[in-house]
Amino acid sequence: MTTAPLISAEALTHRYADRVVLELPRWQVDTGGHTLVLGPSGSGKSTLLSILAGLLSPTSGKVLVDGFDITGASQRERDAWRARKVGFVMQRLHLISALTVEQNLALAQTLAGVERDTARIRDTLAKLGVAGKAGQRPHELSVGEAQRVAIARAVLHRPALLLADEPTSALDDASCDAALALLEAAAAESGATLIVATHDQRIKSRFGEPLLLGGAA
Amino acid sequence: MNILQLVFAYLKHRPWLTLLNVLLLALGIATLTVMLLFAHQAEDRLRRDSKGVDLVIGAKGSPLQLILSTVYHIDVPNGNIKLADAETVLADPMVKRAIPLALGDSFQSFRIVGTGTAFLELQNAKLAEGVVWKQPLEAVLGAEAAKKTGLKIGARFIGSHGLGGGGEGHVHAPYTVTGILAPTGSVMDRLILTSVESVWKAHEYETPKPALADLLKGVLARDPNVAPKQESPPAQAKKDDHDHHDHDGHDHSAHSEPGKEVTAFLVQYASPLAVAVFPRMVQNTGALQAAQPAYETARLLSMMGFALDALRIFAGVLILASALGLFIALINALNERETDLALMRLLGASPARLAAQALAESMTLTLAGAILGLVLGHAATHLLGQWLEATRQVQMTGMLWLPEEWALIGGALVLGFLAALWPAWRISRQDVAPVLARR
Ligand SMILES: Nc1ncnc2c1ncn2[C@@H]1O[C@H](COP(=O)(O)OP(=O)(O)OP(=O)(O)O)[C@@H](O)[C@H]1O
Ligand SMILES: [Mg+2]
Repeated sequence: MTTAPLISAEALTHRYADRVVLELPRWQVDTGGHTLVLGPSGSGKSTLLSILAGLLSPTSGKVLVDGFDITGASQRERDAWRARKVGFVMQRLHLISALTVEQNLALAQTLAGVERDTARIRDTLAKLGVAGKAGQRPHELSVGEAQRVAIARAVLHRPALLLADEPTSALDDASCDAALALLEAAAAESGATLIVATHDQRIKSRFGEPLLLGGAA
Repeated sequence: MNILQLVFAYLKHRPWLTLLNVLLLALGIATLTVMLLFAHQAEDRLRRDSKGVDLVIGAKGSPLQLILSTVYHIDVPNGNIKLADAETVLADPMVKRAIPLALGDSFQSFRIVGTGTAFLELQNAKLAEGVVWKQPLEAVLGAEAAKKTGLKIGARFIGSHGLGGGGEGHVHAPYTVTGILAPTGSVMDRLILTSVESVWKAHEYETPKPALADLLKGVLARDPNVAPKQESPPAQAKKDDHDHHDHDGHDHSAHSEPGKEVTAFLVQYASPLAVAVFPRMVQNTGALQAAQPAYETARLLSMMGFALDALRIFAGVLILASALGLFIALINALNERETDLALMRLLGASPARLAAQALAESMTLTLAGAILGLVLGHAATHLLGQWLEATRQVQMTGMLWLPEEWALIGGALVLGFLAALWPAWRISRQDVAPVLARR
């Protein structure tokens, strides 16, 4: 192994009540790599992504991301770390409907603790092909446009880790390909390692060896 | 995107709900403001007008009416008293000063008050222009009376019978303006002051029988030269008769031959102890009544207090309703924005920041409600004041800022804080991961 892994997890388990929903004896992701997490519904994909984002404390095990010990850190430390290092694209895109596209991105910059940078916002929107939508409200966007805005928001602060939870399940084949291409391009542009969690078998071919959860084959 | 920008974005996003919340509180605050301004000015007024008057001696009847008519110049007097009756009690050494008042006429609904110059001293009134009256039928105008009637020094006017205006004119006895008072902030601003003799003079041509008065009305109003009666000698001519009375400060101009009448005397005691004895002494003098402004004013204020209490309860209910509305709106917003809040946590917002945002939103609403309420309250008081001035001769303004109003603003902010406390706490405790993983 030439580069240090961005993610390294060991003996990771997560339980809800007595039910084990995630069990990961050993898993590593190379820096700058694109990795697919594949598994049926309920197999623990979202749970894993939440742990990687520092939103959820696993029941046991140890996870290092970009040298940061998520499992050993306090909630406050994880919040601060996540704001700087992690970008997240959810299936439900969660754009704030009271704000315009540009305001949504400006809020993300504020909360990430980076300087307000309108040029960066415009530039990122332009690279994702939605430059003309800056003044629009989320409800005025198509699903595809909204997804591009959500991706823009996730990479705006140049995170080390870009997580995407079910980014394609609502899309047809053509849009599905386009969405993945955008994610890959955005990750490459900001130098992020990309993790995509899905049960969508269509996108298997785009990635190398996937992490299989819940006995998925 | 700082917290306030975000707050405004959310408030703008639900304009009707925002407006409803603001309006509800504004109505409560406006009601309180009107009460505050009204009560303050009424009390202030009542206190200022009765300054220096320990007792009013007038005709038998309602003591409140006597005070209202002679001290506040609102009601009509109970009747007149004979000078001879009053002189006996006023000779008492307990009396430091007694100021006569002779009411009955008005000009353009400003009361003409026959009195002595001591009345000016009592209210600290200073002449802005001209000189005080010397001859009968010379008059000094209160600041507002001068302004509203437009009368200048040297102008002549005809008083009309009755206090409301519109009565028959005393055309045979026109007044001449010799002076105009500087504003006093008391009822004196609205009075036309003259000597008691002037009022007597104006009434010498009056016929006491209503039937005859009606008959004469038409003639007199049209032709000032139809003056059937002979002029009687001026009242001052008899003044010397009373020089043996040695009561300092008494206004001798009013003391005249028996049979002459005035409406009342404003009495100032020589010693505060007089209050225990003197009113009863007057009361026992058959025809006279003694009324204490302090007591009657307190009664008036407590009567007003009931009305104000009712208003206060009304305002309280409104404010409580608005607090409840605000609370429900915040709980609603909390559910509606669950994903927004989770997202902000994901993007790096601390729980404390989200809680602060909920508090800021609530307090912005209540602050807006308070400001709008104060504006509405002042505007309403002003309109009410104009109506009162036109119909009741009572002055009231909305252009007045009381220190208590800062407390209203502070109270509104506290209300906003309290209403948001529980929602803010819940927001700060919200679990993020499940909300975001939801499909
Ligand atoms: N907050 C929670 N409390 C209890 N159980 C939970 C909670 N969140 C998830 N689970 C359970 O954990 C299991 C894994 O959930 P998770 O959301 O990680 O699955 P997933 O692979 O993302 O599924 P999907 O493809 O449907 O999104 C599921 O059985 C789910 O019911
Ligand atoms: Mg999931």
